[in-house]
Amino acid sequence: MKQNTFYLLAGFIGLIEVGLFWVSVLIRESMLITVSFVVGILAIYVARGRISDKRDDERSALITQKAGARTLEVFWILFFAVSLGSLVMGFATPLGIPPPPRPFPKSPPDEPHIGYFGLLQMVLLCGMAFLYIGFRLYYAKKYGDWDDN
Amino acid sequence: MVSHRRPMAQEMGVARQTILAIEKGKYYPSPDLAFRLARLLGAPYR
Repeated sequence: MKQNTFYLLAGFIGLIEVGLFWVSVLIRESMLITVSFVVGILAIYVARGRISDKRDDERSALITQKAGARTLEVFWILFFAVSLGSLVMGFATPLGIPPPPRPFPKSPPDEPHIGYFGLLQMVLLCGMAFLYIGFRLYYAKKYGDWDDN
Repeated sequence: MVSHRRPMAQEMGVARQTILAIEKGKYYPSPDLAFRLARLLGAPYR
């Protein structure tokens, strides 16, 4: 498989995931998008391993490694802080986290708060992705420009 | 000047940008790549 074919395939899988997300909202079935997302990412990983004209070399590996490490270095603080805030909300009741109500709510629960927490996580993850791209651009520039000749 | 990079990169199994970065002094290759480049270019190395 050519590298460009892989990009097309990844984009196609992304479009399918967006569609499946919409469908799972309509039918109120959270497992649909959860499972299909994992399957989609696995398919992308398998396809990535079958690229015949891979352009990775030691320089690009160094850029990926540096950008990933720096992103984690910055973002673990934010994730930890948000998680601590969530823990405070959980332990704020007199006897700690209250037991689940009976009968246990069906999936997805009719509690919008959990959805808002998911939204918060999504915002954090998108921020992380943008930061990673920024670091990648920075290190790509540091370890050699793109062709300027 | 540019034309040598593509075959050299193919020979070394690296991207053309890597050869360019080494030429510009922005990236220092690993010892393995450095030895292979020196061998390809016929440059002396110790």
